[in-house]
Order: sequence, then structure tokens, then C-alpha cells
Amino acid sequence: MNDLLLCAPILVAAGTGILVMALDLLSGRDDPRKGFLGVVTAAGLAIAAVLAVTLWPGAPAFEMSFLKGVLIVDGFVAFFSALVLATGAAAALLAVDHLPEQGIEPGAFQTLLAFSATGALAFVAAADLVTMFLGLEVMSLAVYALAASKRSSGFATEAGLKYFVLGGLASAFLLFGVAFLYGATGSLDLAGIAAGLAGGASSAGADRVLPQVALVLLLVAMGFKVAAVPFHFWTPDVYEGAPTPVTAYMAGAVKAAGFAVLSRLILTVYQAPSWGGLPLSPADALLGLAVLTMVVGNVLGVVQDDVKRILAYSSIAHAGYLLLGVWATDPATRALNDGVPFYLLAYVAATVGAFGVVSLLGARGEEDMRLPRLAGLSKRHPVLAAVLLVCVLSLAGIPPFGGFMGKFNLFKAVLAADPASNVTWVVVAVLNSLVALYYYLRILLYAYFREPEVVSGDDVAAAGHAPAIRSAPAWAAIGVAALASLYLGILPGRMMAASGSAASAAVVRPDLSAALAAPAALAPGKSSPAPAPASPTVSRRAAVRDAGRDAARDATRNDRDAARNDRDAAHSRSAAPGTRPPRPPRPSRFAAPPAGGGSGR
Amino acid sequence: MIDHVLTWMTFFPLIGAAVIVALPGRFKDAFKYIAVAALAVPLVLAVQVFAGFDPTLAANGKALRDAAPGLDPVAYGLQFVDHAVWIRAFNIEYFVGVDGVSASMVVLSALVSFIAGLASFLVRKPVEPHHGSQAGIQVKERGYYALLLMLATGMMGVFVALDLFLFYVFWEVMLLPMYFLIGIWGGPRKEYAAIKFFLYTLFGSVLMLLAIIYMYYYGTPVKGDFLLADGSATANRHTFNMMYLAHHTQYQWVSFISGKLLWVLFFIGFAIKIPMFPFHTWLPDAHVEAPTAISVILAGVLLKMGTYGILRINYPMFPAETMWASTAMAAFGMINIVYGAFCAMAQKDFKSLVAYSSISHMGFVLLGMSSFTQEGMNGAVLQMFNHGTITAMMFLLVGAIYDRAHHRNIEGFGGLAKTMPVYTAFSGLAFFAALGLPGLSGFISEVLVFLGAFQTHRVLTMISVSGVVLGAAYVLWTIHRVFLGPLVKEEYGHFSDLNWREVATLAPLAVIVIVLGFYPMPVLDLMSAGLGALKDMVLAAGAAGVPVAGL
Amino acid sequence: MSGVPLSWWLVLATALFGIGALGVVTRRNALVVLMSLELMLNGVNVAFLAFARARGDSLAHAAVFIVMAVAAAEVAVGLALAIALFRHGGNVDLDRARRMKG
Repeated sequence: MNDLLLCAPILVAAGTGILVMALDLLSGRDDPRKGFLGVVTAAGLAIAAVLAVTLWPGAPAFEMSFLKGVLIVDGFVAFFSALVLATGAAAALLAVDHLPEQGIEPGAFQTLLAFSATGALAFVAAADLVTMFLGLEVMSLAVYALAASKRSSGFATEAGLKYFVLGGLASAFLLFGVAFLYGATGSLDLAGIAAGLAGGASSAGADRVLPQVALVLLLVAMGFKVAAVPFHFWTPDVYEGAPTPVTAYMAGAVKAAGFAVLSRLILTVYQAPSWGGLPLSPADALLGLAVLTMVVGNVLGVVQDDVKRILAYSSIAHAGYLLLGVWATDPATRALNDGVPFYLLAYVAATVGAFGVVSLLGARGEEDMRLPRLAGLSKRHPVLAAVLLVCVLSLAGIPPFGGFMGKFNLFKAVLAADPASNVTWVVVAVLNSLVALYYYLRILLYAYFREPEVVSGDDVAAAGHAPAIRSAPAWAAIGVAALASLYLGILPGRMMAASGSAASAAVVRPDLSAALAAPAALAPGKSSPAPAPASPTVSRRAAVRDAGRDAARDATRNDRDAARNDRDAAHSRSAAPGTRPPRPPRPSRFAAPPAGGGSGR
Repeated sequence: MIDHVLTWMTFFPLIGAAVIVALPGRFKDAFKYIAVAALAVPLVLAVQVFAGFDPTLAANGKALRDAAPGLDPVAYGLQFVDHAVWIRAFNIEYFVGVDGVSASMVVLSALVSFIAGLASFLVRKPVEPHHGSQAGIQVKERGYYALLLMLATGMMGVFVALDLFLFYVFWEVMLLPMYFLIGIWGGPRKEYAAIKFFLYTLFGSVLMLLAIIYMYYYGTPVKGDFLLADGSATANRHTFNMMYLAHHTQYQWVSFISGKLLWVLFFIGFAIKIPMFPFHTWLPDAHVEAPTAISVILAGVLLKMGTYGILRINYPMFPAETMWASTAMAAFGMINIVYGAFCAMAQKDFKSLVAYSSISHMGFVLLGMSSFTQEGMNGAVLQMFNHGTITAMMFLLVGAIYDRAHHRNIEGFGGLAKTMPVYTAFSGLAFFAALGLPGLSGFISEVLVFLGAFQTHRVLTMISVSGVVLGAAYVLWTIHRVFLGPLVKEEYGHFSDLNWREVATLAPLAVIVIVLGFYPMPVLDLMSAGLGALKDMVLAAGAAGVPVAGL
Repeated sequence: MSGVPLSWWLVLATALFGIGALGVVTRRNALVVLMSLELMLNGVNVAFLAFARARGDSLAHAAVFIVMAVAAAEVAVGLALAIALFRHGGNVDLDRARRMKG
């Protein structure tokens, strides 16, 4: 019963899909009122989101009996699930009047959207890697179909197929990585693998090669999902070709889910920044990925002249900033960088708003969104132009909008993680956001400064004279997105706190289950187990700063080493074949922060 | 007397903007009146600040440094303080107040904003002749006035903010309305000018942001705890509170970062705004393209933010570094004075002449500031105030002639004194004040600057004095070409003189220019004690030569 | 199987996966690409089973069944997309997708 209650958000999301499918069948084939399906989908997903934020943050993992090894529900999952579901709801609302304009069948579209959100929930909440793979596939398969849902357009179909092929590639990489992790540790659940990696308990051949290779495979797979350079090349084409509400969903929900899982994999499974004692620390690779992503995204964004492509490159660049955040974990807390969830929130709100405006402009089956189509927007549709303004400026990171707070918060947190060496990368990121301004300003330039060119006949639509779609649901969605961008910029306190607690829950501590399984008797007095999972981390972090950073870090390091020894001991006790003696304390190499940090101050 | 006067002054225009945005289109004739009313309120409140300001109150830097951080605004020389926690997670506060450095700027900002609001609609002729009568600010009035009001909020916010983060937010907030005001209602090359303005300023503010984040992270209290507005200690011992950063903070320096680097980052951010050579190239473009009222604000208030920021942040937070950079600042001030004057002489466009004269005059501010003498500092801030009023007049006058002739080519005028005597009188007043004629306000501030600067930087000051001669040259030559001699074109003989609306925008400024020329004490009194304390702080830090508080 | 060491199985799995990946990246015909994707997934299955065998537990068998089911679903979606593409251009050439400039 408890399990059912805790699963309620996922069940509601899935139920929404089934309900919409049934309603679609019940209503006539050419019923003009099919728009309500989108409203139902949005309502269902919104309810699921509310359930997620109310039920999940307070539910520690071990309260679940039946689904214990399948799903984790905690503050981290709640935050990202709510984000994914809200994006799904917004996409459903955007689609209500966009679909008839484009000649897309709404029933199947909304059903697939709801199922995709369900899959994304499972993806984010997965406690074992097979569930994660299943969630990924449910999410992605639906999105492939959604991207190609405009069957009258060869363009959209190609986009769908391209996304399908590269998505399939990513799934295969993920799965191969999972297989190697299984081979290395004999376990498929996150905590088990983490314990296995940390304890070095692998009976299958080479000690560290398998996890190392697996990490590369997983990074490639997640690189595809979050559109990190060099795995980004599908993004502009697919974002451009897909129906715009789907683009909003991909840029928002899929990316958010991707980052949630990437954080889980890196932090829980590989226990960054110690990386489970891998011989080659992948921190540099992750950093390289981050820097490359933001640079390439921004530079290529500059040369685009289609709004959807500009926003696609913007989303690539934002993935770069986020990767920088994921990379910069504070060695003192080992939690997710607490700037990341807030940044994602601000980014998703602004992106969904911007794509939402674009979706309303793509009237009469017209998908071409070259910049000149925006000309004179401020005159024709001042409100749409204002929403675009807010969202684009938020993406650009200009106060008083959410994107600025997000960037500020993220860069600050990156600096906090490792002051000495991260300064350079923060500077790189800030300079990047200056480059990005160029293309964001170009959008505004066309929307506000340029007059539409005078044309006649068939070119009218292309030159920006076509009226926007009138759609109350879509207006509601973009209105909420714009207001959210403002709210996050002016009163960010609440959401920053939520972001902080979500981030601190990102790590499912293997030592927690170990401690539950094997009581403290194994660990004689001297060391308390490593940091507790949820909120105490925050106050702990504060306390840590108080005590002076260096001392605190050393203390935590000792603490952690001690905890690892306990864990090793517990593991060797419970491992059935061949009783190995407890390992000697590991050299501090494994606890050293990445990239030569911590020194030089 | 109204409580929370600075908060009202800052946000009342924003309320006006909201009203304008919310009103349906059929009230569009009312937009301009709402805008002017919303700008008049801060002006009235500015009188309260002006009258209620206790000029003797100043921070005693030494005493504060030795004490633990406290919340008493009086100890910091602050008045009209509003203080509340904004974002608790990062100790970001809503903290506004004025002291000797900002009081005169607050008054100036309110005054110039109001004049700009008046000038926006009192001058009813189309600004852009190519588009016929439906051009200039007469189109899209709703947007224009809403943005103007937002700009006023941003400007006032910059001058009253005492929380570094809040300061940065206002600094950026002010950027966007300006970008749109130039980009939508500007002249033929408006897009180029708007983007150039935006990118230059943003580049500077990003440098600032980096420095701000660093200061937040590596500044810890010298003793005790930083306190938040509600009296509780900050959770992680970091703060954005400018008073704490100036008096109670010590920094850790990581790798290549030092106080000098942070000083330079801030300085570049502000120097772009001043604009200081070599970061000045955005200014002539922006001025030439901007509509008249926006030029007035740009020259009258925005440029002062640069020098104000240096006084507000660089001086108290990095006093020893300020000493270190003193000569460089003076040298840049000298270059600005001379270079600006030479460029002004070479201009054919009336408006870019005034723009370059602004660059020259802002050089005086830099020179005076870098002297660390009471006269020099007073002269610098007085020059900020005077330049605000004088240049505002000059841009209004250029706008008035442009509305009639539809061009701004200096060579294309001549003999206007005969047809437009009132116009010529106001122009003479403004231009002679700019050149520093005794009896007008510009004279006092320039003399104070030279008196102060000569004690510290003799050679640089002597070169700078040549700027006055150059200034006289271009001013007199301009007057000669525009107002004297024969009429260039027959039709210029039929120009109407200034109408009462134009006079209404110019007259208050003219009165101020004349009064301050004879009796500058009201404004000098506002700043003297505060600037003196600031000067002492920098000198003490410079004399100590070793890092003190704020270092 | 007892005679074949784990590493050989892994080499086989990696080879299958690599051939598949190469096919996905280089081939143009959508059907061949689909088959290559299947090949990759089957390489993964081989790896799973080899590990399961070596460790002597059955956890991975469940995973393999799930992967097979998902692969079938993936093919269904992929074929549907390929058919849709065929209707537009008369062929299933993926290269046309590069009409959109990469």
C-alpha cells in the first residue's frame, strides 16, 4: 500500500496516457474539440507533479518494501520529476492549438507525450540500471514518434528518424556500459554497484578496466541525451524539424531527465570526485566535455539564422554550463553541486517559454522560422514579443530574470567546490555567456527593431505577416513560463532552497544500506558513518565552511576514508566466497579532489 | 515627510510603468502624463532627501575597522536607510541608503529623469524626418514611456543600492531599457549603436560580476560575524553588504588573483561607463542615434554611474590599490580631457560634438578623484553634478535645433542668433558653462579639480589645463559657426524661437547652472564630509602600505 | 561454454557492438542502420550472459529478456519511421536527413 502511494505520481502519469487514449477513441475521429485532450494531459501531468513534490521528498528509500530495489524516491527525484512533468504539461498545452494548424493527430500525440513523461519519471527515479534503461526507452521511443508526428512533412519525419538512430545508439551505449558495470560488480542497482566499485569487490577478471570502460560508455550515452558536444550534432536538425511543442519538451524535459541521471551515475555510482578509485580519473574528460560543449554551442549559435536552430544551439551551450556544474562537485560534501537543479529550472522555464512563442508563430503548417519572420513582432503581438523578451533574456543570463540567478548561483557553487583551479573555468563560462549574448540579442533585434519587409502573395507568411495562433492554453503555458522566469530572478529564495536540498539528496549513499545491513559493531567507535543523505548535508556544509575550509576538507577526507574502511569490512564479511581480510586504509589518492584541486592556496 | 523615501524614489517610476503597460490602448494620450507624474514624485522626494540630509554625518573608517561589524547606519554615515533580507540563502539583502557620495547623485538622477520625461513629449516635432509625422517617440508611446520609467528605476537603484548584488542587478536592469530606447526610437544607425552600447557595457559588468563573486567568496569578517538586516549572523560568513566589504572584510587571495586585479576588473567595468579612453567609442554612436530625451539621460546620469561606482566600490573596498592606481587614473583623466577636446573640435555633427565634450568633461572627474585631496574630491563630484545639468541642457538644445532643421551639421547653420534669440541665449549659457566661464557652475568644479589635482599630480594637471583652452576653442568656434555670421539658408530665417515647452525643460537647468555658479555650497555641503572620510580612508591605507581592512 | 574463457566472450560482444556501431554511423540505408542497432543490442546481450555465466547468478538473464523486448519495441518504432520516410521520398535513405544542414 505504501508502495502504491509512493508510486502515485508515476501511476497518475501513466494513467493520464491511458485516459487520453481512451478519450481519443471515444470522441469521434474528426471531432473539432479534440483540443481538450491536451488540457486533460496537462492536468494529469500537473497533478502527478504536485504529487511528486508532496509525497517524495520526505520518503527515504528504505520505506518502500516491494519496489525497494527498483525505484528511489527522495528530494532529488521529486525535484527533477516535477520539472519533467511540468515541462510535459506545458508541451501538452502548447500543442493544443498547434497540432490542428500543423495537421497532426492530437490523440496519439498527447498519449505519447504522457507516456514519455511516465518513462522519464522511471528514468529519473530508477534504483537499478535496468529500470533506468527501461525508463529511458519508454521516454525516448515516445519522443521519436512525437518528433516525426507531423506525417505530412518529410522534414519532420527525417528529424524523427535521425533522432531515433542517434537515440538508439545512445541507448545501446548505455546498455553496454550497464553490462560492464554488472560484470565488474555483479550488481545492477545503483547502491550495490557503488559499494562494489568502492570496495573493489569484483570477481570478474580485470579489476578496474571494466568500470573504466563502462564509465566512458555511460558518458557517451548521456552525452547524446543531454546534447553535449561532440554528441550534439543531431540536436539542431531534430529541434528544427520536430513540431515545436515537441522541441520544447525535448529541450526541457529530456535534458532535465538526462542531467538527473547523469548526476546519479557520476555521483552515486562512481562517487565523484573519488571516482570509485578508477586509475584514470574521468574528471578531466567531463570538464573537457563541459568546456567544449559551451564553446561549440555558443560559437555555432552565432552563425545560425533560424530561431529554432539558435535556440537549439543555446540549449547545447546551456548543457555545457550544466556539465561544468556537474563536474564541480564539492569534495567536502560529495553532493551534487547545488547550483545545478536551480539552473536547470531556470533554463527549462525560459526555453519552454521561448519555444512556446515560436510554436505560436508557426501557423498554417509553416515550419520555417527564419529570423526575418520575427520582424515587427513587437508591433503585431506585443505580449508574445514580451514573453520572448523575458525568456531570451533569462537564457542570456541578464538580471532580473531567472537565468541570471541560475548562472550566478551555479558559478558561485562551482567556485565554492574548488576555489583554486575552478576560477579559470568560471571565467571561461562567463566569457562564453558573453558570446551567447550576440545571438540572443539577434532574436530580440528582429522582434523589436526590424520592420517586416513588404512582400506580396505567397511570401506573406514567410515574411512575418501571418498572425500568431490564438490559443488560450498555449498562452497560459508561456505566461507561466515567463512569470516563472521573473519569479526565479526576483524571489529565488524558495527555489534555491529546494535546489539545495535536491542536490544534497543526489547521492544515494551506499554506506547507508551497508550501515543498515551491518550494525555499527563492525565499526568500532572512532568514526561516524559518512555524511547522512538528506538535509543534514546542507547544515553540514555550512558548518564545514565555518570551521575553515581546509581543515574541514581534511577532516571529511579522513571521515570518508574511515567510512570506506568500514564499508570494505562490511562487504568482505557479507561476500560469500573467499573471506578476504579487511583492506588496509586506502591511500588518499582516492579521496583527492579532481584536477589537482585543493592545492595552491 | 515620508518613510522609506529612497525605496519610493526608486520604485515609484516602476509603478508608473506598470500602470502604463496595463492601461488599455484608448488611454494612450495619457501615457505621457502618467510618465511625467511618475517621474515628478521622485523629484519631490529628492527635495526631502536634499533638505533632510545631515551633511555632517560621515563614516569614521578607522573606528569602524577596529570594531566588529555592526548594523547602525549612522556609524557608516548612511541616511534614509531601508534594510531587509532579500535572498537569505546567499545573504543578499535589500539595502538602500545615501551618504555624502551618493546624495547629490540621487538628486541629480531624479532631476534629469524628470526633465527627460518632460522633453520627451513637450518637443512634439517628429524626430526622424524620413518617416513623416509618424516617427520618433510619437510611435509606440506605451513602450517608450514604460521603458523610460524602468530606466529611471534602474538609475536610481544604482545610486542608492548598498548591497553589492543589488547594485549589480540595478546596474544591469538599467542596461536593457537603454538598449531598447536607442534601438527602437533611435536614428538611422540605431541597431548598431544599441548593440554596441549593450555589448560594451555588458562586457564591463561581467568583469564586475566576476570580481563580485570573488569578493563574496573570499571575504571573511576581520572580527565577529557579518550581520543580516534582521540582526542574525550570516550562515556562512560571506556578505554582499558594501559597508561590511569596505570596513570589516579581509580577503584570501588565490593563485593569480589579488586586490589589484579586482580593482582593475571593477575599474574597467566603470571606465566603460564613464566612458574613459580607450573604452569610449560606444558613446558618440549611442548619443548620435539616441532620441533627445535619451541623450539627456545618457549624458546627464548614466555616465556618472561610472565615476560613482569607482567612488562607491573601488575607493572604500580597495583603498590601498586605489592609491597604487592613483597616477594611472590621473593620466587617463588627462587623456580624456585632451583627447575628448580634440575630437570635439573635429566633429561636424553637433550632437557628436557634445558627446565628445562629455568625454572631455568626465576626464575632469577622473583627474579630481585621483588627487585624494578635499578640493579635488569635492570638485570631482561637483563636476559630476554640474556636467549632468550642463550637458543635459546642451543635448536639449541640439535636439531643439534638429527638430527644426532636420540635420545637425554644424557647418550647415549660421546666423541663428538673429532669428532665435532665446535659443541663442540658452545655448550661450550652456556652452559657456561647459567651457568653465567664471560665474557659471562649470567653473567652480573645474577650478576645484585643478586645485586639488595640482597638489598630487603636477605635470598631469598642467597638461590637463590645456584642455580648458581647447574647450574654449571648440565652444567658441561652434558658437561662431552656428549663431553668428550670415544665414546659411533662407528658410532658417523663419525658424520659430523656443516655445514655452522647450523653455520649461531648459529653464530649471539654467537656474541651477547660474545659482551653483555663484553659490555652490548647497551641493558641496552634501558631499564634503562623506568625501573627506573616503579620502582619509584611502590615504591611511596608502600610507600604511600594507593590506588593511578591505584588502 | 565452460571451455571458453570470459574474455573471449567479451571480445565477441565488443566486436558485435563495434560492428553495429560502425554500421549505424556509416550506412545510409535506414533498414541497415536498424539492423546495426539490433546488432549492438545483441552484443550487449552476449556480454550480459557471459558475465552472468561467469558470476554464476541469474540477475542478468532478466536484463537480457528486458533488452530483447525493448529491442523489439525499438524496431517497431524504427520501421514505422522508415516507412513514413519511404512515403515521402520513395526510398529509405538516411542521407536525405542531411538536407537539414548539420
